[in-house]
Amino acid sequence: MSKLSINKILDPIRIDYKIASSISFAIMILFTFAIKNTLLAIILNAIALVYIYIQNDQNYTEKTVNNIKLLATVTNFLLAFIILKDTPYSLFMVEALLFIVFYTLLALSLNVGNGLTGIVNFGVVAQVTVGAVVTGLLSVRGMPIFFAFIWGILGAAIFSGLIAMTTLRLKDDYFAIVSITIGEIFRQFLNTEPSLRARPGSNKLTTPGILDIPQPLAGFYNSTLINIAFFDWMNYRLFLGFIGAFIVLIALLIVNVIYYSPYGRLLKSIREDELVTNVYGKEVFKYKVIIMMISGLIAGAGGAMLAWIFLVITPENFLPLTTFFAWTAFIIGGRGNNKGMIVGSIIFVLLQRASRLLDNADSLFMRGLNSFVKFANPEAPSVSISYLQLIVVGAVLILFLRFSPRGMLPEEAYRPEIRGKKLPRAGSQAKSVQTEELDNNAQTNNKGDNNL
Amino acid sequence: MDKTETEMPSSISRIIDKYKDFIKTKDASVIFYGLLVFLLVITIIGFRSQNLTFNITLLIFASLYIAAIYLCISLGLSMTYKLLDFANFAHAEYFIIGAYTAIMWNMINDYRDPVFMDIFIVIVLGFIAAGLVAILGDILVFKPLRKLNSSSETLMISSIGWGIIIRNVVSVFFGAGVVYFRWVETKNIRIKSVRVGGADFSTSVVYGLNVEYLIAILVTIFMVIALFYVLAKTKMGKALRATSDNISLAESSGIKTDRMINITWFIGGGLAGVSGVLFGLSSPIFPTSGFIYLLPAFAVVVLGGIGSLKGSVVAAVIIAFSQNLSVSYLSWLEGPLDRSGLIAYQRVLPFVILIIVILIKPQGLYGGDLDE
Repeated sequence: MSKLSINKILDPIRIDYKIASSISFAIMILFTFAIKNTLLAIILNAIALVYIYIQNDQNYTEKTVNNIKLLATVTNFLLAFIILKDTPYSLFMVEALLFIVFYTLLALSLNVGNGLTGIVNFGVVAQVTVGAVVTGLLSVRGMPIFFAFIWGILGAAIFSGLIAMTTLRLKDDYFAIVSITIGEIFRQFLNTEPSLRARPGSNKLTTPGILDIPQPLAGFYNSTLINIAFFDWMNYRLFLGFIGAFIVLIALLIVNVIYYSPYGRLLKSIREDELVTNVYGKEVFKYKVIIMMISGLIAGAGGAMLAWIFLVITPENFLPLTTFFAWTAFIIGGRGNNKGMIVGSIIFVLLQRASRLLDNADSLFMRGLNSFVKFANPEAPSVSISYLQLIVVGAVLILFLRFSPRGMLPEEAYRPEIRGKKLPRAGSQAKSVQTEELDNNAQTNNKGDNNL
Repeated sequence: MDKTETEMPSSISRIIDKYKDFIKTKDASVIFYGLLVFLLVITIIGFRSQNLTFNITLLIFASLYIAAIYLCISLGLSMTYKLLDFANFAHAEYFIIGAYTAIMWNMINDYRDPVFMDIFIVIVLGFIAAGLVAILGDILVFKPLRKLNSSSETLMISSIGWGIIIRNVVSVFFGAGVVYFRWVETKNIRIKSVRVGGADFSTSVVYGLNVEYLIAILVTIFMVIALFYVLAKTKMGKALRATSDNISLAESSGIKTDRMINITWFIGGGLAGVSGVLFGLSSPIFPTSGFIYLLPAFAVVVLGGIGSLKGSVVAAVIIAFSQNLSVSYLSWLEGPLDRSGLIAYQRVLPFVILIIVILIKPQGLYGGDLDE
């Protein structure tokens, strides 16, 4: 609804996607070099990006529009990355990349579970916990990191399968409650079990957590091969980001194969109507268990990524908030669209982290807020930006659910091929001959009615 | 599409089939009696080793106190769950609204020694504040989504978002740190307590009962009786029950269902707020303390049966007592198992009960409607 009204306002100045995106790049580069206000440049760029999103030209198919959106978001992020590399914000961008990788994996896992099959999984953080803890424990105990990673994701998959076999028969909301509860039980385990505390060389720790987790390919990176051959600004965190991006690519490949296969269509039919699929002789429960295992596999990879990002695992890393963040990225991206998961997590992470750039106690906004809070409660400590972040994230999620439940990149309708030709999508302007004939018939009928 | 079925590894489907058979044959009573026998054996072993002790008085009062807190949260949760057919994950945040209202009142009065009257003012204020926030949540978040015919899944996710917004707005105004309701001195009633077990089998020691505990228990009993009276005897209660039973039928017979939904939110949120006040009187409060009580409240709702208030009362008492009983067992087991920190698992017990109940008897003890 809101989209339509904005579209009408912008209608007279409608321009092509390519022009809009090139203008956004130009504005960004101009502001970065001329005015030296990087933050303003990013904000303006974001505005230009939103403008590209609003442009919904009927001449393009849904898939092309989605691809342009994906391309625009990713290139803008990379451009910002390159432009910011010599500024104090470079660290910020690297950390953002790491978390984008993490949330993309979680959102992809949700997309397999919920976007494709319709399982309401509120226990993403439980799957993440298993992946992180198994990878961390095994690699701390001396297993090569690659095998620890494989065991971690397999462990998460097996665990998810077990959970699914026990509880997936339940109603949607019961399953949601149970899955969120299982995540909390796991956190409690991590908090109290001495066998889940480790650091290299010693197994007896007084505080919960796994410390000094070795990172992947650190030896390869330190062998200076990459340092000399590639960029002088490459640091290990960025290298880790690239490893994560590689894992995301593999996960995306797996999910895409499932998505566009006959198997994926069967899963979609489960999502739309479980009973009908069952009546047609498909064992819905079996498929759901397998899909939960695949989603566990991907979320487990996210958990391993989390262990490598933080180097330390503590129970505080696995609050139910992580599940909520994954859902936010998933819904912003567009449920049922794999490409959307990348866009969703880029937008979510930048939304969540960009407010840290505003964390300046002297700014007008913070001063105003602090004085307001002090007025209401004289004993209040000064406002931390992290609360505002969470408020913004919660509000954005609710607004998306309310005004744009299909997300940034809506799910592309499946169009079957008949004799090598794709059928036109519903509601497209390129009408087939048959529908035009039908329309003509309808018009003549109407005329006939008027005559009567 | 048929190919995919034959490609399935047969071993997995065999495991699933075995599991299906297990679900069909299992009986709730078998597991229940098995657990009871197991507990009895453990208790006898514990008494013989002279390390298992129960302080009966402490057990009763602490359990009733926790049951009161759980019950007040879960009554509203159960009502809105039955009425609107979704699990509201933001319900525990109305709890902290109540608690912080009490602290605000404390602050406004410059922390003077709260007299007896103050507590009742605070309870009423907490009820109203939390109830209004609950109605606000419905207007801002849930009502627009209901009008779009959103699925219960969408409502659940948005309720998590709404809960996070409330929690962080509270954090903005009070900080994430611990806040206390400041009495000048804590008041105890000294009563003789009975201890069972231990080296000398039956001894009695003096136990100081917090006045706050007693207030919480009494206020909760009063509120539950009042709620039952309103639902059973008044015209509004009848309308509420009719609405929660069948919303379209109620609307067609002339009940203003929108108003009834608002009243349900007000009562439900208000009850959670009162439990926050009662909790805040004796314990430190921080913005995330609501979430700690959310999942136990769900355990109470599910064990009691969604929408059944009588069931919630029974379930709250069962869960609170088992949680407190488990403390004795866990602290005793630390010796034989040679490890420390087992007591922390008492937090997990309601979760385990929740999962077991959902698996064995998802309709709960009294799977019925509000008029029970």
